[in-house]
Amino acid sequence: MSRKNRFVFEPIPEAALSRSISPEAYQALDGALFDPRLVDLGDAEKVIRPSTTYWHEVWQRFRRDPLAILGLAVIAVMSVACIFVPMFSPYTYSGMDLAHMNAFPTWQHLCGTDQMGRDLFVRIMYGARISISIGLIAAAINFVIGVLYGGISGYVGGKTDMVLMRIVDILISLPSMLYTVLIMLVLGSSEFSVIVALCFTSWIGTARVVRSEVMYLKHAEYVLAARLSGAKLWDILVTHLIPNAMGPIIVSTAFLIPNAIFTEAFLSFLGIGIQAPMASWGTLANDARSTLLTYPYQMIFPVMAICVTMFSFNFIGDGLRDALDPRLKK
Amino acid sequence: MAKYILKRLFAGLLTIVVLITIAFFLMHAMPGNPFSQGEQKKLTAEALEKLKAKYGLDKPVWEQYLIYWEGLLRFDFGNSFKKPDTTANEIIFEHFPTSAKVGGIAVLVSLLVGVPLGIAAALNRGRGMDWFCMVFATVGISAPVFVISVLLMYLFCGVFPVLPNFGLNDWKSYILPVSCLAFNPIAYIARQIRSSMLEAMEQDYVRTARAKGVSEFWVVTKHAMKNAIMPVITYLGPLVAGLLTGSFIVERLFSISGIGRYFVQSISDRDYTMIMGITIFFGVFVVICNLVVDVLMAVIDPRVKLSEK
Repeated sequence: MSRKNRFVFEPIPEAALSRSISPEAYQALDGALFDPRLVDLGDAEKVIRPSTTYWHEVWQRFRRDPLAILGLAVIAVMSVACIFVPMFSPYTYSGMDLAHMNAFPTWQHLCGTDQMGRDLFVRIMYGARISISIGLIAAAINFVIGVLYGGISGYVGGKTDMVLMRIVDILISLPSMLYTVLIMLVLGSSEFSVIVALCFTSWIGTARVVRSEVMYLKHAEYVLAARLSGAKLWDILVTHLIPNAMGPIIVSTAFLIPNAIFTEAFLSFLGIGIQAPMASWGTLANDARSTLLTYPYQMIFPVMAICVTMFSFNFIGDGLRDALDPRLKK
Repeated sequence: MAKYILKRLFAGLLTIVVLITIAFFLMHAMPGNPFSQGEQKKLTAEALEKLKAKYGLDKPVWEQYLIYWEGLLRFDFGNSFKKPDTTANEIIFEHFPTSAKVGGIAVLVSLLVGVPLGIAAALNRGRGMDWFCMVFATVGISAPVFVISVLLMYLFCGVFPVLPNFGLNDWKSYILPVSCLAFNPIAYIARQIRSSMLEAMEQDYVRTARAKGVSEFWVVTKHAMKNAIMPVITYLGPLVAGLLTGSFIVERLFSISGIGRYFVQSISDRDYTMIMGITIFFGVFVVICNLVVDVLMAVIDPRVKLSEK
């Protein structure tokens, strides 16, 4: 029998019956007489869409979140701009225009110049390079550390898990900024030190997420099957557990990026982050501190850049969370 | 209960020991020290040796570590390297009260504004009030403290010069620093209260309370609030840590002579003993706050004790 056709039971129409029996008799039958009959269902059962994958569905859900798309667009524009603007601009981050010191924004200097006549727009673009690269690199490193730490802790369990989690408890119970500041002092002020300092405690959130996911997934039958067929710890983690826990891991990693950008800006604002003449957004804001009331634009532009970037990354994170784990959405 | 508190106390002590050890060895791994030839060009090598001996820097690191511990057990954080006549203790006890006062007010303000805001949003779900609250919360959570600080400072000291921009002289000068510190916590608390309130309002006990004729005011304040407030109490621990970080910025920006400002100052001075002293003090302070919050939670919510066994 083809898929299109199947037997359905339909009551015999009243009109057909009433010719032979009385209406009362028909009522008494109460639709009990059935006649098997072949009905053509047409295309009602035909699958016309290709089957969707998990990631395709995630993208569909993500796409419907206007804030997340806005965030993605802003980051995309900023990434492209921060690569190409310094390449084609007549100004450099350290070049001084002594004729235009503390100049208010004009077409010549889009965001004005600072007290040494350096073009702020170009400096902000260099700042974007630093912020975005630190955010991405730190998030990537923390992702790796967190996944390995949490994965091993969750999969091995027992004493190992207890020791690893106690270490995490101790590290997390103090503000990470204290450790970060100490590490910055030891390593000196550079982009590299900021990243190292960020890698000291930032992975803990990811590690915890991975651990709880792995603890939940490790009892699944496919893991048992893999174990029975002799797969090693590493293979099980990398081929089975981590791909299946990818949703929550990506969400917790996505929020590491704005966190890293914030930490870098915070350290630079305190004067222990990126050093002059290189300029990150925090450095620019710190430089503009003394002239806030006289040349406010020197402060407003970098600060706006920080805000917009952090908002965008947070929106992307929120969108990813809703798309990857619809259960969490309230 | 006693066992639970003891366990927490032990964990707290361990945290502090780890912090002190990490801080000590990091400080001593730092390239150069305040008495190396590079830093002090005016002094002769002989004088530098004497200075090193005075501060015990000529001894092996392990011995210095033990000496430092010995001092800590006597509540002695050591002398400042930069200002030889002041000790870290003096700085801490002189300036901590200022920070504590501003921070304490900020905690109160964030609770007094954040909680009602969250409740208002939850009770007006989907309406203007809710929308306003959620926008404020989204902005407030992502905006870094120094951004908020400079914008508020520019707005209220530059565009509309109505508030003083430095010091803590009268009640007016508290407004800006406290608002800057409380901005993120208000947003966080409002969002948290909103979601836990929405959850609480759908519970059976709220329906029961309504069914037996309790007025809406008491349903919200007594029955729903009691459960919705729990996440906020847990948040008090991280809140203190957040205010600490915020105080570095706010005290520096508004020239408030609190301990956060001295911390930043000693960082740029590379004043080891001061940095270590204040770091350890901060660590102990945060650990104590977390301990208090944990005990408070165990007292208020019996479920916490049960889950801890």
